[in-house]
Amino acid sequence: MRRTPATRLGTALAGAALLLAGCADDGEPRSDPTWSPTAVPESPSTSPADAATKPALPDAATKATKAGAEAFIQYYWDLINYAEVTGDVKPLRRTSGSSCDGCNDGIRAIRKHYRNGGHIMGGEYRVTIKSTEHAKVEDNAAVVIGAQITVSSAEQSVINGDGTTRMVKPGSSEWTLAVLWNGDHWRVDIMRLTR
Amino acid sequence: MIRSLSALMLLLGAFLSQTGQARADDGAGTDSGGFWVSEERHNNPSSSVSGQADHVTTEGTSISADAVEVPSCVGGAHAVTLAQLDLAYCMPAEPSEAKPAPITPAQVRRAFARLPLPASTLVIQPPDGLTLVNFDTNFYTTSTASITRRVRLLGRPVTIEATPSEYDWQFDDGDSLATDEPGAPYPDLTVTHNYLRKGTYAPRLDTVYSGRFRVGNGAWQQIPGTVTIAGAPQRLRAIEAQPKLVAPYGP
Repeated sequence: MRRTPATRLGTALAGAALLLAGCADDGEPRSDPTWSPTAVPESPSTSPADAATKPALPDAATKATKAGAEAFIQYYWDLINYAEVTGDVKPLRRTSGSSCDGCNDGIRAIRKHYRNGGHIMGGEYRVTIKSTEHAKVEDNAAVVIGAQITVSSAEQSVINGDGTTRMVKPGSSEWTLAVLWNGDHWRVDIMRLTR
Repeated sequence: MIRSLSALMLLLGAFLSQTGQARADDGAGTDSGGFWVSEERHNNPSSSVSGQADHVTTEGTSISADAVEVPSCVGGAHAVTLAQLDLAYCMPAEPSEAKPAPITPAQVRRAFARLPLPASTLVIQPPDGLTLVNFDTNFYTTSTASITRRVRLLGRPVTIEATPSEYDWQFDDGDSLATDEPGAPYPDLTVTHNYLRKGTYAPRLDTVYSGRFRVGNGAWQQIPGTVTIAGAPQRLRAIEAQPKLVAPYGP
């Protein structure tokens, strides 16, 4: 399960609520024997070690629906995580449209970095999908879904081929994507950084 | 209660400082947000500053972000519009959609001319390269079957069928004959020639092929023109017959 800013807020508020609920008016801890915490701290399922494992396409991403497109977008960013820490960009290539410059720029950069002897550690991306929309496609029955997403990233070490290291700070970025259902699978046709 | 509120404030403060950090990183320059993101910012610096690029042009894909106008797409591309996302672009046509360039008969004609078609086998009677002057020397061939060859033109499979449609009999004494039949063995004499003078000749049979073609399993179409394959000359000696009495009447 991925942790998004929204879920973090929920976790924080839930934690606060639990603290309030767990205190009696006199400030003493609640002694009700039937009470037990129901919320447990979440931890991201994808650790840096997990990112080095080639992600499997989830079943949800094999359907030509909005939910399928959302699952695919999450999967695509899992592939980016995987490519960044391994240099293996083949799965990304297979799921990117040939005219998707935003995809190909990133793929080329990773490939070039690893070819030059560099590697990357950390920096896992987490995706929050803000909105999705069915596109109108002229003279074609193709299913295209656009999405606005927010991507947050952890701190990252970019180790260059000459041994120097560049630290990339955690951050958040916003993207617009358009994904096309290509008969039996999704592919990314547009990937544009908007903020 | 005071302790509870303090704890809540601490939690909310931690949360807000975390999200505040993320916002601060947004404008912190290109070295934030991950390798993929910083590369994209490097390639499209305007998008990281304004948030909404006025126009971004990608290879084969034009994006208009300031107004959702249905773009005019060329080359079979389809206009894609996403009104809520303020995005419109041209989606290139799939290879399966693109109409293949037609294969013209002239292109097939050139392929037909390059085919290694066989020469016809020439049979002469009487056999063994010897005949008589002023005698119906018989010529025929058994090479009458159509030849089928498969080639690829513009990446597509094309079947060419070549059929002998004419036979040019070159008798090598200045005379020739064109027929649409292949002759026949003795005694059905359909193609014959009389050599008027004794001598050694090199008759040959040239085969004129006509052809038709089809692309894949499409309809057959005639190939314009013909292809002539020259046959190998054969040695033929024409001699004069002399009456000669033999026993029991001779000496």
